[in-house]
Amino acid sequence: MSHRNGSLSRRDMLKFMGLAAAGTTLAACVAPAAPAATTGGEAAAAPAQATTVVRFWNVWGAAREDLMNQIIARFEEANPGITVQNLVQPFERREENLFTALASGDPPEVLMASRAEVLKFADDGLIAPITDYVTQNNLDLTTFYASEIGNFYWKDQLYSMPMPTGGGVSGLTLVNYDMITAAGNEPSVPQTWTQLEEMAKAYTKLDDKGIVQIGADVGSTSAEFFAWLYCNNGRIYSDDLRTIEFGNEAGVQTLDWMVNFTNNINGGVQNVTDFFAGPGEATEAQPWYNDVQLINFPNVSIFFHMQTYKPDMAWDMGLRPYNADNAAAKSQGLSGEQFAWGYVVPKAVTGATQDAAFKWLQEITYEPDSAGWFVEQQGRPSPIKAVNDQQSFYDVNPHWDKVLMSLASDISVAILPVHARVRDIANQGVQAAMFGDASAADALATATEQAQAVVDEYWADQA
Amino acid sequence: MSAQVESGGRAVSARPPRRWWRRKGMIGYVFIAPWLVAFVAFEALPIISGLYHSFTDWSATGKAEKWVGLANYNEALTRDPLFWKAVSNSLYFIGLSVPLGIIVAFALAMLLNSKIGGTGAYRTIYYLPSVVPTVAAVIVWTFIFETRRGILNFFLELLGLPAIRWLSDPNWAMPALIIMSLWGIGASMVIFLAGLQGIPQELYEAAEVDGAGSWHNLWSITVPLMTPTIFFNLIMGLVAAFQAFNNAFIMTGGGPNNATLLYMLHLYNNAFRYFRMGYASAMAVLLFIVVFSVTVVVYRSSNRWVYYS
Amino acid sequence: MAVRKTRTRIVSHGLLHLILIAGSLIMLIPLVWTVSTSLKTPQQIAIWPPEWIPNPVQWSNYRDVFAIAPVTLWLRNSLVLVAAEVLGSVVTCSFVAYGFARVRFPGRSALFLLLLSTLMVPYIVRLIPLYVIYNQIGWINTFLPVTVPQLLGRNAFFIFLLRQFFMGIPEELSDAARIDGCSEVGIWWRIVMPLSKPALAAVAIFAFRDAWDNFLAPLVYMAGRPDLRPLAVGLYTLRGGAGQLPDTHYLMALSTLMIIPMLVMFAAGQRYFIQGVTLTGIKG
Repeated sequence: MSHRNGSLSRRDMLKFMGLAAAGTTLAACVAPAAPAATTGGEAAAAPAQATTVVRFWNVWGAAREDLMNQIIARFEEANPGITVQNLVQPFERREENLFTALASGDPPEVLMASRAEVLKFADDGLIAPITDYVTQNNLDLTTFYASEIGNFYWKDQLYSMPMPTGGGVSGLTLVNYDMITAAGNEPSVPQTWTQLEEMAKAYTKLDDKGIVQIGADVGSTSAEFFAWLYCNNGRIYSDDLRTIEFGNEAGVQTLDWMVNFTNNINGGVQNVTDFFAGPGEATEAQPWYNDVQLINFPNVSIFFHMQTYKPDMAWDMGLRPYNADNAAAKSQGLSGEQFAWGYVVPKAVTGATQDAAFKWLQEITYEPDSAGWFVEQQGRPSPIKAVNDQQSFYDVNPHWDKVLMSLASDISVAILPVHARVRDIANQGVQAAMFGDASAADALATATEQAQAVVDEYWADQA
Repeated sequence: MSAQVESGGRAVSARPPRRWWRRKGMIGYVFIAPWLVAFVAFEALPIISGLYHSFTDWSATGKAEKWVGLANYNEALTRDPLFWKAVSNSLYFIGLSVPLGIIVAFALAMLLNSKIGGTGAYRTIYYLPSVVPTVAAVIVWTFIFETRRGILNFFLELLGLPAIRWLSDPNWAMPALIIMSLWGIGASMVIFLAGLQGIPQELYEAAEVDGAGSWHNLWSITVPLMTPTIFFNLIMGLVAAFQAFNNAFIMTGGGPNNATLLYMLHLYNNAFRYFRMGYASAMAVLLFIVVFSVTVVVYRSSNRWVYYS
Repeated sequence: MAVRKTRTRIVSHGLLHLILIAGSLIMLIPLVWTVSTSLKTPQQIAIWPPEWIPNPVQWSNYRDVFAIAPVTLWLRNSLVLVAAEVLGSVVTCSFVAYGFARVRFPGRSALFLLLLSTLMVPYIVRLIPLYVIYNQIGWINTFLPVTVPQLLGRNAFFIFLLRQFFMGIPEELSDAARIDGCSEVGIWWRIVMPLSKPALAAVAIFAFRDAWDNFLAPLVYMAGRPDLRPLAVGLYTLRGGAGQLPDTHYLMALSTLMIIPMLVMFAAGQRYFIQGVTLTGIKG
C-alpha cells in the first residue's frame, strides 16, 4: 500500500463547502414554510386568529374523500370559528403512520383508529374521554345500536362514537338461490350447523386438483373461530376479562366441528385456500359471483359489491347458523372483535381546540345528516338506527330488514387492550388444528395457556 | 505499516505548525464528515434509544415506561413460542435466497456482459422487476403461484411433474418466497455489471494468447477481480435477507400455519400490532447482534479472499 | 477448426438467447400486467385469469387519472426528493466513500463498521425516535427529513458500494497525481470520479429509484401536508380502503407513468456498463 500524503488545499475546502452549501440551500428552498394556520396549536394560541384548526387524520380515501369534503364544507359553514383539514392517509402502512403521528408532541386533533387501538390508547391515557362532552351536549346515545356505541367504552368512560358499523361482519349468512333452483331443489337458508353441513355437502364438488364448486367455507382463522364460538354459546373472555375461555368445552367442540367440516366436506384447508386464491379484495372473479359458492358469510359491504358485480342474482339471507345440539346456543353476530372504526382526540389537544375537535367528532359520528349520509352514499348501513330506515336501502336490497335484524342482535364483544395479541395466539391454535399439527383440544389448550399468560401479564401490570 | 503512516505527522513536528486539516489522517475525517454529521444527528440517537427501550416495556402510546431489565430478552429467548419459529424461518430464507441470489445475479451479469447481442434490452428487462410497483407484483405473483391455473404449475405439468400448492402448503410457501426474492435480483445484477467494467480487457487478451479456456478465465481472472463486488453483494444480501419483510408481509402475512413468519414480521407485529415497542426493540437488538457478528466474520475473512487492486 | 468454433459459438449463443428470453418473459409479466390493467375498466380487471389484451382498450384512464388526482403536484414533489437523493449519493456519498477507501486515518475500520451497522438496525425501532427528533427541530411536514439526510450522504449502502469500487482503482494513478501536486480532494474529483463512471451510474440509478419509490418516510414525516406528497405516496391514496371498490385501473395508469422515468434513467445509465469503454488501459 502506498504512503499517502494528506493534503487539502484551501481551495478544495472552499469547493467542498460550496457544494455542501448548495445542497443545503436546495433543501431549504424546496421546503415551503407551513402556512400559519396549518398547526392547530399555533392557531389556538394566537388570539388574533379567530379560527381553530382541526386536523382530521383518516383513511377515507378514493371516492370517499369528496364526500368527506362536502361534510366539512357544511360543518365549517355552521361553525364559522372552526376549520377542518381533511388529512386523508393511504391505508397502506396505516399503523406506522398512526403511531408516529400520535407519539409526537403535536398530534392531529382527531384521528381515525380501530376499536382495539382506541381501547389501548384509552388504557394508556393517550386520548381524552368524550363522556363529559356527551353529557353536556345532551347527546342521546340510544340512537346508536347498543353494540356499536358499546364498542367504545373503556372503564366506564366513552372515547369515541362509531362510524361506520363495527357489526354486520360475522352475523350474516347469504345463500345463492340460483344455484339451488338450477339443481332443482327448494331454496332455504341454513339455521343450524347440521343444516349447513347438509347443504354444503350437497353442493361441494371436488376433482383431483381440489375444489371446483364449494358449498360453504367455515374458515380457518381466529376471526371465524370466534364467530362460530359465539354461535355455540362460547366466549373469548370471562365477564371480568380475567380468564381466557375460548379453549373451554364449547371452544373445543367448535374448533373440532370446523376442522371436521373442512376436512370431510372440502378436503382440507389447503383446498379451500387454493379455491379462494385469486385477485383478492372485492372482485367479480370471486366464486360467489360466479355461481360456484353456495353459502357466503360476508360483511355488510357485500351488498354494495353485489349491486356492481351481480345485481341479478337470486339470493336470501339469515343469521349465522348455530349449534342446535347445544341447548343454550343461538345465532349470534359479533361487533368490535375486528376493526370497528372510531375517532379519537389526543389528550395533548386542549382548550378551545379540544372543543372544536369534539364538535367535529360529533359531526362525523352522531349527526344523521353527516355521518349517516356518508355511509348511506356508500350503500352501507349506519350505526345510527334511524338512518337505516330510509327507503333507499330497501330499494337496492330486498333483504335489508334482515341486515337490520342482524345489526340489532349483534353484541359488542368485551375485549382487553391486549386483544390483538390474544387474537393472534388463538389464530395459531386454529391453524395448528386445521393443518393437523394438533387435535383441536390440544391446540386450544396451548393457545389458552399462552393467551392467559398475556391476560395475566396485563392485569399484573394494572395492579 | 499503518502505525508508521499514522505517526508520520507527529514525527516531523520540527516543521512549522500545519493547518489542522493538513495534519496526517485528518483529511480522512474531512471526507467522512458529512456522513458523520448525518450519523450523529439522525442515526445515533434513534439507535441508542432503541437499545434503551429494549430494557423497558415501552409501548409508544404515551404510557409511562418501566425499566424491566433483561425481561424482554429473556422472553424472546425462552418463552416466546414464535421467536424461535421466526428465527428458523429466517435462517431457511437466508440460507437459500442469499447464495442463490448471488450466483444467479453473477451468472446473469456475466451473460449480459458478453458479446452475444441484445444485451442492452436484456439488461433493461431483467432490471424491470425492481421498478414495478409492489401492488402489481403481488397480484401477478398470486397468478403465477396459483394451484389450478398458475403459470408455474402449468410448466411443471408440461414436464410431467405434479402440481404444487405453492402458497397454501406450509412446506412450499417458503420456497415460493425464495423464488420471489430471486425475481428481484436486477439490482445485484447492475452492481455486478458495474464491477465487470473494472476488469481490464488486456487480461483476457493475454489469457487468450496463452490459450486459456473461458472456464479458466472465469476462475482465474473474473472471479478474483470481482471479489470486492461479490463481497459487497454478499454483505448487502445478508443484511437485506435478515431484514426481509415486504414480500412476506404482503403476499403471505406469515402463513400458512406460520410457515413464512420471518423474523421481521414477528418484530413488526410486536411493534405496531401489539404495541410492544420495548419487546420489539429487544428483538431488534438481538437481530443486530447476529447480523453484525456475521458481517464482522465476513469482513474479517475478506482479507483472505477479497482482492483490491 | 475456425469453422467449428464459429458453429459452436452459434449454437451456444442460440442456447443462451433461449434461456435469456425465457427469463425475460417471467420478468416482463408484471410490467405487461401493469400496462394492460391500466387500460381496463374495473369490470375488465376483475376477470380471472387476467385478459392480457383489454377489449376495449380504455385509453381514457390516463386522461382521467390527471383529473381525479393532483398528479403534477405529486410529480413536482417527487422531483425534489429525487434531486436530493441523486445529488447526495453521487456527490456526498462518493466523497465519503473516498475517505473510507483511499485515506488511512485512525479509527477508519471501526467507523466503517459503524457505517455498516446502521444498515442492520431495523427501521421499525428507529421510526418513532427519529420522528420525535424531526418534530423537535420543526422538520415535520416539510421536505427536510427526506432531503437533508440524503444530501449529507446518510445512505450507507451507496457509501459502501462506492468504497468497494474506489478500492479497486490502482494506487499508482493517485500517486502520480500527488506527485503533480494534486490534493486528496482533487484526486477524488479528477481521478477517481471519472474512473468510476459505471459505479456512479449504478448509484445514480439506484438513488433515482429509491427516491422515486420512497413511500414510508414521506408518508410518515409529511402526513400533515398532503400537498407535499410525492407520487409514491399519492399513488396509494388512489387505492380504496375497506368496502370501497378498488381504483386499480387508475392505480396502474399512474404506476405505468411512474415506471417510464425509471426505465429511461436505467437505459441512460446502462450505457456505462458496456465493457471496456471507460476503463481500458487500467491495470487491475
